[in-house]
Amino acid sequence: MNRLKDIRFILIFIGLVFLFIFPVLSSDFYLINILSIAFIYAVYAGSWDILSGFTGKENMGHAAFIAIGAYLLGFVSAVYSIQPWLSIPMAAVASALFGIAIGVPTLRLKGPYFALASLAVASIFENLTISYSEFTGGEEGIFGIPFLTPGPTSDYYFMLIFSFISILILFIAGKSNFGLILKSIKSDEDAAKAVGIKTTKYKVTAFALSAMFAGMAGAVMGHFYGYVGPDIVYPLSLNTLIMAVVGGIGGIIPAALGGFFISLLTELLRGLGQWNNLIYTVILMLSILFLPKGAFKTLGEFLKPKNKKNKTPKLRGEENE
Amino acid sequence: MSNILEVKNLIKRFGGLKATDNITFNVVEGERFGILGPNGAGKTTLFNQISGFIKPDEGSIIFNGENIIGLSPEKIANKGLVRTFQIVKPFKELTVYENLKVTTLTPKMKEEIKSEPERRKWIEYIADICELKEVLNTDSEMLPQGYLKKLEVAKALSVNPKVLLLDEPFAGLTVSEIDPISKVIIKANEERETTIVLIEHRLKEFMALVNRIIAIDYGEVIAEGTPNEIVNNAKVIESYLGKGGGDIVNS
Repeated sequence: MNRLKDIRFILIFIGLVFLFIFPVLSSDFYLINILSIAFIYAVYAGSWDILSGFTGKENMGHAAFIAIGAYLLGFVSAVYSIQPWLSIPMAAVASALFGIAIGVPTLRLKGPYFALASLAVASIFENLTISYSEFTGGEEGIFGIPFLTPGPTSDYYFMLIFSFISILILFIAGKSNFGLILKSIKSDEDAAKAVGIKTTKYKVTAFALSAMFAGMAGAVMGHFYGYVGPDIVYPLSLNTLIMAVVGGIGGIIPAALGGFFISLLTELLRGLGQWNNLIYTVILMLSILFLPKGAFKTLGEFLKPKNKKNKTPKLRGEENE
Repeated sequence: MSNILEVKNLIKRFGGLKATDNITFNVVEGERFGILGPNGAGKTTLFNQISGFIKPDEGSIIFNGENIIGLSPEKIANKGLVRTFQIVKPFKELTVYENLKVTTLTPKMKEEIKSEPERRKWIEYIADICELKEVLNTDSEMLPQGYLKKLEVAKALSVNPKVLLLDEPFAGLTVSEIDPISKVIIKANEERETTIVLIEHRLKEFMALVNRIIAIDYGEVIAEGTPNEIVNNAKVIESYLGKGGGDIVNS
């Protein structure tokens, strides 16, 4: 196995083992709680990446996908005490369909136009949430959602496994021929069409996949808090984007690590009171200034087993001279 | 030998301007066919129509016995009519190998290539024809222009097309870089039996490469014939050198 020689793979494996035994080592519920939330943020960032990092369509309204999963759970909970085994698949289907519904009309939009359209979608959602407060609870949100599992430790394991499986699926999709085609579309859509790639089909699939995992993660979060409200959903549009970009886009795992660690960082900085925002912002700015490709992507490339075949060719003319 | 591509009375207007004005020509299977014309003559607009990126206002394009007007670029490519771009469009984030791999994942090539070893063999074969073997694992954004031009041809050739539309494959190249591209085009034509339709305005290299030419100017066909006939055609000389250009050449 080549993987065994790949230090990145070993590091992730060690990290996962550590996370799996962490509740045994520590009974600090605060740490267990913030780690649980960080797992979900990893899925938010990873699911953002499969659409935006792979096809180049910068989604500034990822919260809309998350909201579908979370609020669907909220609506159903109002009349029926729905359990995660049912609500998560339901969120998956509903948000994937919604992803397709948003994807089809916005497909032709490029660059900033797509970003603005996605931002608009999330804003419309936020306004609808506030306006139709009889269904959504308005600013207050919806309470009384059945909890994920009976206790914080079992919640932790549920979210760890959910996050692990989600990111693994997204990672495999990104590494597969599907991911390769998405990247070709990102590089040059006309060129992809010119060789016969059905770009529409692939872009819509990326939308569906991205929305599906965001929606499922939204539902898991709703169960975890026992609550769904605008304050835990709508700030996610910007946060997810920042986390993915700081982590590094186009490889799922760097983005997911970005989500995981920035979420932890935000929580841990909370203890610093007024310095919190300043330190957070400075760390983000430094990261973008010095690691523009993304912190974990740069780290990953540094740790990558060196490929000796990589060489830059000379121009024919140069060789002759 | 039959006609593989028949373009009839093709008209495309941009506002008041006729970018292609009643263009008609046939391409015979297996030949290397050239379209000559000065900048702005309507050559690329013609290609954009044949490859489905622009819909013509009037006329018909028959490829392999079938009218392809109104079909999407993807559909046309999957039928075996594939184009390149004058300004190269590599898949920048991907290596050369991955660039070629993407083209084998199209509906057309999924039918022709059944297994992974077969795919690898095909990609290496195409890289061999296009003299890209030594850069297969290089990121395509690192490649110099000469290699990018070869990659542009390789990507199209990797779809195993019946007809290859090459839009100014020599543009932006030094004289020493042109020769390898010419060789690649000839190999594609002779070894892969691909019909070539070539747009160029670099006269010398172009004339050596093609069997038959149409010259267009202001969207109209002004001459048709062998390279020799074309270079001696008064209208062609005029379109390149301006009015009275013929007299200059003759004197």
